[in-house]
Amino acid sequence: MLPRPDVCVAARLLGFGICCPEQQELAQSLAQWLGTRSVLTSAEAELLPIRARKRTSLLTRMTIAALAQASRESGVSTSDSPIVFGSAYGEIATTVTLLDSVHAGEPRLSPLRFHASIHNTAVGQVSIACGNRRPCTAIAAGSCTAAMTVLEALTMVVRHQTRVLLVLADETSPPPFTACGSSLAIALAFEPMASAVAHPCVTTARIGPMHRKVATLSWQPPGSLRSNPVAAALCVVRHFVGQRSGSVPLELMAPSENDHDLGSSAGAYEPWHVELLFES
Amino acid sequence: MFRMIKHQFGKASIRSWAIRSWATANALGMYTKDALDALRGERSGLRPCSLDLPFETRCGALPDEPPPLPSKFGVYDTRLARLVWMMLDELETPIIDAVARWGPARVAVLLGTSTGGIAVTERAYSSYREHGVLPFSFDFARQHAFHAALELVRTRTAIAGPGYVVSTACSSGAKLLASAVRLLATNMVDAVAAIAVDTLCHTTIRGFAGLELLSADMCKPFSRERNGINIGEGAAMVLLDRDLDADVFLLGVGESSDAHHMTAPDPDGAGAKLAMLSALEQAGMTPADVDHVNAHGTGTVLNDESEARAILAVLGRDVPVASTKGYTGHMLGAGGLVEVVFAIASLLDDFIPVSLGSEPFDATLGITVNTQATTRRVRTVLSNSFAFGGSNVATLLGTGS
Repeated sequence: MLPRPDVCVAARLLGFGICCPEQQELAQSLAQWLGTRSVLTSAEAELLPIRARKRTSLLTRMTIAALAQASRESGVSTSDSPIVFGSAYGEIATTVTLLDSVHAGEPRLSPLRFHASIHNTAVGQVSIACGNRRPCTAIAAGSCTAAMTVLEALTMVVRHQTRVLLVLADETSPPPFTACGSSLAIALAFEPMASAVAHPCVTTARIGPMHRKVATLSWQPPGSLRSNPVAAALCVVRHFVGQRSGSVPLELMAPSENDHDLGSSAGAYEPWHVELLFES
Repeated sequence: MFRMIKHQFGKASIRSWAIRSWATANALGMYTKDALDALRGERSGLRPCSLDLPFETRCGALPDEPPPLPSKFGVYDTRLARLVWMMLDELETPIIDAVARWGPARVAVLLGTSTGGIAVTERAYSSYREHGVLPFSFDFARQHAFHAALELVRTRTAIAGPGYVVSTACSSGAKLLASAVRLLATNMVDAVAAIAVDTLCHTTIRGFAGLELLSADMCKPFSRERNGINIGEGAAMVLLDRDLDADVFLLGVGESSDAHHMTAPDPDGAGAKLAMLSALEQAGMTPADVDHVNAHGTGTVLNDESEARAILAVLGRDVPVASTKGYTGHMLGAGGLVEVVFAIASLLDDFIPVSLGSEPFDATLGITVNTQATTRRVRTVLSNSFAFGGSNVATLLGTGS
């Protein structure tokens, strides 16, 4: 069933960027699965001044690498477009270094690490490096992070009639945490449907609440990427690369595993779904 | 009243969003009425900090302990979750009404926070460093992670529409209103439960100490003696609705980036100006329409200077400005939305809060700081929130009449 037309937001997907920086083999099998050669294997944050690059986390660097690639491919500027960042766990590696300092009883934390621990670190750094004064935001939604970030980006495209850069990223959780198994960043560039810009691969993305349950994703990303909360967006890239038409369920606010022990109210509702519809 | 005037650039229609219900808990009180009474009564909630810290500072700590969650939600139990639960005690009925009226999938929940459950993670991590394992009771996804509180809200209210956390450091609580407006304006939902919450923890207090931005004494926003901030904790909840019948409306939410520095504001307030102008433009209003500014006003030398420049440039020297940080401290990710609730109180009761701690006020700033109790007609309030990373938000609220 298609979403009701009145609850769709439409935008044109212009390009993508992907960074899978930790294991060459994983990046290769990802590239193969996506059907593209453009998977970045090193997180070079070339947009940042050299001094700033050394002090940034892998999360920030791969976020910026993916953004730069999407920007190059699509022509959507990193200096004059709103940027929407989505990550389930954010700057967790930097946060753990702060936890070490707190545990050691340090009265004052490193200012550099402290400001690098905020969720909007990467978008803040990009906006500073590129002189971007447009609104930038940073969101999180657990396993729904990819879907909700796309929703935020598309409502921004439609509401403000502007091109928008979206970037999703989660880094491998440092010990003792185990939430995310492998680092990955995915950037997407969108533009409003009304502006007619010729592009070799014009694709429409629409999104809306689906009044039925989508049980599971019908695809699996390779290996340890499966536990990365933002991997759900890989299927968007795969559709884009393959110029496929059809629908891509992005996430699933299916009741989580623990709902059964929370009583009967959870799971009784019709969940919200985000599904991208591609029209060739 | 609701207006539907064509936007001057023809991009979007101007419309406002009804605020039907609101609540807050902060250093001034555990419940909305107590907190707003203390604001009117000019009573500060700042007190010596109860955390074990190796230096002097004041904090805007909650006056009482928030009660624990019901035992079946024990796995989510953090101070942050308890505060969210308390907010729901006040607003459960209007939210459930909205869900019944619009349908569960047509109501969204947005949460603004900068700390998430890190207060619990600090203790769990210390335990891990000492014993080699995390405590059995610690659950990363349901306590530390930003989205944990979303699950709790969904379970209690049956909200089944979009749900996400907006985390842009100290502007989170206002930034989420921009997302809320986008969801409403694009007709993705009919109502939004907007919640912002942050709690005191070592990471933020010691972090601000590292930046040398903490004041050992009460903060003094816009005073010539200002010397830093006090960290606070708190929560607020606002229910937005596309319905037209309300006493208060959200008129516009302007956003911008400073593109200047991760922790220092643009000295000229250029980013702040853009945000304020954008809020006015969305509302189809002029600077003369603004009756009062609830400033970000943290009490650091540079922040207040930069914000005053921006206010002066956009709104002129006469608009009465107040910072409420002298009551609550800087509640970080919760501050923006708590101050929206203060702005609502100004609109409904026609009063402008005394800018506590602003005397002796810094005349070089050139703005009018409200240092005396003022009762006057208040139809429109602008509330500013600025954050690390140069994330600026200006929220415009009005009675709409």
